[in-house]
Amino acid sequence: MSLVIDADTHIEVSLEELAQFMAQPMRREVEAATPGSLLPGTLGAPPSAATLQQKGSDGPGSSDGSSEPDYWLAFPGLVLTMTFHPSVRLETGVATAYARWLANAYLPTHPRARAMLYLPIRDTDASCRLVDEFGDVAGIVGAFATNLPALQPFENHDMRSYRALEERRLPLGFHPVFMWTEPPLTVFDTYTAAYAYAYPFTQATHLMNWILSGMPERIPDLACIYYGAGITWLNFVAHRLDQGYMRRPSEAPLLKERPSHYMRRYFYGTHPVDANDDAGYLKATFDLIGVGQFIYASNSPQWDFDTPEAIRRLEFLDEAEQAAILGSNAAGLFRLPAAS
Amino acid sequence: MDWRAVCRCDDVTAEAVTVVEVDGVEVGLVRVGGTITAFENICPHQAGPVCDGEVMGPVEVLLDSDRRMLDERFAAHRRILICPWHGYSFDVATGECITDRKIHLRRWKVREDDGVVYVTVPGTRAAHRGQEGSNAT
Repeated sequence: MSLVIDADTHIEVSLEELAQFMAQPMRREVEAATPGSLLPGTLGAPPSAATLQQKGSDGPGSSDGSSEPDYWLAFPGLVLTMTFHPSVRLETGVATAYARWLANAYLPTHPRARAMLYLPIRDTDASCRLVDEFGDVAGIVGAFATNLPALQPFENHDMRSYRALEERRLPLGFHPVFMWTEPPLTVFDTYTAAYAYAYPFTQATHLMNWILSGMPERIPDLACIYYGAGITWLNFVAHRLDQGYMRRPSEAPLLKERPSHYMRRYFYGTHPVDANDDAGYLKATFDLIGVGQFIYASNSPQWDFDTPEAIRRLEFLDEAEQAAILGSNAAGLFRLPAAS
Repeated sequence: MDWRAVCRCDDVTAEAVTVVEVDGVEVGLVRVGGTITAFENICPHQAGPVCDGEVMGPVEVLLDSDRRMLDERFAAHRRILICPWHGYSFDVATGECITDRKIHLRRWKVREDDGVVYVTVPGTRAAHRGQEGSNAT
């Protein structure tokens, strides 16, 4: 069995637990609040499949046959939504506490785990401080941000954070989060519809803005990863973005190539992908972007998680291509051992 | 090589394309530095009248060492021709599409002599082989 690196495993850590890593007076503020009351809500979200074992599943799996992957990148559920919080101060406090918790509690006790710093993207100074202070901690392999379409962080002051990551060769992940109660999702009256639309919409919006604002030329050595929206949205975005750019290049004066060419430089988590989907359409997406740009991501233990079988059942990929997606692409990206 | 006189040199400027007709084929002339370039008036995108478009500097952005945007302006060192149909933009010095080098205008040989502009007659493709455009995408 080939190396398995799960680039998107969700872990649970409570705000109360993170409070232990906060400075006063924020620590008291958090501890005095009703549990859960400080967090933005996630209306309609199905319960996670945290009880994978109880359901008889083997979980994400690894090359040695255990229920765990060889390595996994940990994403904290509660932190993902902090960018929706009205208080930037609280978001920054949580981001800092999360970094301390990773460095002092989680990573030292989970040798197969790796993690990304959470960038409180609305606070550039804090983002830079986090990268400076924790960017070299063992097990920290990058940083991630959420809710980018709403924030559009392409202003001059944002460059410092990205440059700090670029200088350390730390990738930047974009993890989608959506709030059903926020436009444009309020037009949907089922969670299924909001879910189907929101993640590709979120990532497509951000990717379009990111590329057209010239970020691939401004921060050329910053590896970016788009998570959680499946892969087929890439076809649509590549073709529409190229069409628009060819007609209005003055709106993207920093670009030197078609937008789709820049898309092929970035990385994409595979989740959710399903061999039962139209194989021709899936194959066209891998052909368009390149197999080397995809990394297996389970999104476990969320309700819509994928196992490595989701990749192994893509019959149009040969064994070497499957192995690359399951492990070696991520090993190169995150500088992990190429063998389990 | 069969050259045809098409206009006076003074008729060709750097600010706009001068379109002339030679044996039923429209050719656009534009001055680039000390010379004149000539392109067939057919956009390789969807056959629009590309030479009827504006000539201007492309937008360029100045970045500092930290990749911050300092200024946005029309570039002075380069001129582009923008097709009026869909906005495909071509470097007037080379005919290359500025967003995809595989696409370029069909270029005609041109020379100036005693105040008169001459181009090769359309149809004698061998005469200007190597300078022809392509519809490749």
